[in-house]
Amino acid sequence: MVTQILDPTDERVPIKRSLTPRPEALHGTVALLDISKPRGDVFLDRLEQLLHERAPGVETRRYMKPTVAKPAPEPIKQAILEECDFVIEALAD
Amino acid sequence: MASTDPDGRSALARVIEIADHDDVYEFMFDQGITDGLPVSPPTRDRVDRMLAAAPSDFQHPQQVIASLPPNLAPLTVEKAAINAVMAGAKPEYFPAILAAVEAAAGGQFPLHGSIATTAGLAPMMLVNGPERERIGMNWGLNALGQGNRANSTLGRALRLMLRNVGGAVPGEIEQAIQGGGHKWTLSYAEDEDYSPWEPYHVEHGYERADSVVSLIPITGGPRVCIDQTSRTARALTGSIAMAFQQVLKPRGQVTPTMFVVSPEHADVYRADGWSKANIREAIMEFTALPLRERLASPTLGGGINEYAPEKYGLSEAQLDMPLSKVADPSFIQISVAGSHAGKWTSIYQGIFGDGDPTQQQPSTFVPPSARIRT
Amino acid sequence: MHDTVFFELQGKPSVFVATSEFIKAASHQAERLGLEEVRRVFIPHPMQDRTNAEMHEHAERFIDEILDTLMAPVD
Repeated sequence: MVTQILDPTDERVPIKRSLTPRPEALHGTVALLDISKPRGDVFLDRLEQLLHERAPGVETRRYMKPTVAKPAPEPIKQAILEECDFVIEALAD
Repeated sequence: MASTDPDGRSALARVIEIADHDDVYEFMFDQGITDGLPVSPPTRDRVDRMLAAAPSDFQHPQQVIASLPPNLAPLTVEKAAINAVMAGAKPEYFPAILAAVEAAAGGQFPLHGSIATTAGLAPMMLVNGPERERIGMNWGLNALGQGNRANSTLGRALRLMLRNVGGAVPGEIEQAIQGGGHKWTLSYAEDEDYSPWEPYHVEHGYERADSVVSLIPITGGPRVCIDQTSRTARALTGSIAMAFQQVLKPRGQVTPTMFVVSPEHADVYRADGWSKANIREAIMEFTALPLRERLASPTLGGGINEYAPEKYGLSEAQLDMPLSKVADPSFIQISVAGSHAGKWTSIYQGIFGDGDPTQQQPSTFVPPSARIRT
Repeated sequence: MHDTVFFELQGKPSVFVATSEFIKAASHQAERLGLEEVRRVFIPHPMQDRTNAEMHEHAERFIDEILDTLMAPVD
């Protein structure tokens, strides 16, 4: 006799998505999103200085997730969308 | 592949056929849908019986209860029922299981981080109210151990949903460094009748007649404090506080932690008329160290980051400021369970909580919880 | 990762930085989110016991790779 069981898994197949086209060069404002792991801020501090050296005229803005444990809350996402052109997220260990 | 039930109430889930020359249990292991122990085959009949026990708010099998991390996948009542069957739950446990899912995925519990970070946090589940009796949970001897079907399967059902629906597979997206027994299941009920205090859920704002699942995010336990000789509440709390000081790293701080007090330790508190607030106050006092002694030390090891004094511009006076094992008394959570033969308190600890030591008003902990609806 | 994919889908070129322990986890997560090619850079693990000087050194070593990964043209 054949046994029938019901599939316990998420049966959705992920929709294929694609990357945003890249412009020629950095411009405008780069969001530096700190995922709030210990020590990530020290890394981002230096990265921010270096970014200014590499791309003069490009601005940076710092954002911090309140907790590493969840995706960024809606207000932070909206602020980044409104205020920035690029996003660098760091630093997961 | 969707299938419909003749009476229209049931499953859209794909039907998987297992040939008679295949062993059903081995097949399910091969599919990667178990937690490493055998699971009960989720046949249509079993799933329908589970669905029939759903509370009135969850009557439609395709209703989405929650979005489960890490894939943020929709968990329908039907998928919850399938995984509850696999966990070995009886249909009458289903309302409590759904409440556990609501508490875990409602936004207050760090569910995504508990899976995708290395901390290996898992929900410790405490059930209060009449429902814990109706479904035959254990709050007595071995309440936090094996043997009782309801205690064993409540946590396991949630874990299977996270794996099968959410996609939390160890070594793929799930990153717990070592894990522990609490990653399979850790559910218990409170001995409300013997407790010297109001029931845990009443303390947190529910009515006594409500049935509630409360969750504490823990990295492990039990760290047991066995103290058979302390006759006063103050001495006993000193003993428990010293055991607590050692968790994670002795100089560091920790996030909310559950203290499960056995009935005989509860007797000591009852005799001296101690409230939970008295215990919290004493633990804060007994574990207090000057901030400088909570900083990472070259000889005594880790603590608050050595760069903190510079980063926060701490003065000498601030370095003398007393800092307890937890940032706020509300991080000390207390419940009562266990047999009546043993002076015993178990500590189930959170994760490191070494934040900004100058923060004047640390956040207050309120356990994520949900009412069980029947 | 969820955040990086979110911003990418909202039209903001994005990159995330993690330590090398997470290479496998990241690729599973990216696949599940439908964006396998999400841009990422891995620096050596571990990081939490690093001194400030060592963390700065990592930033100096990886700044170019981070910017190049962020800006590399999309096929």
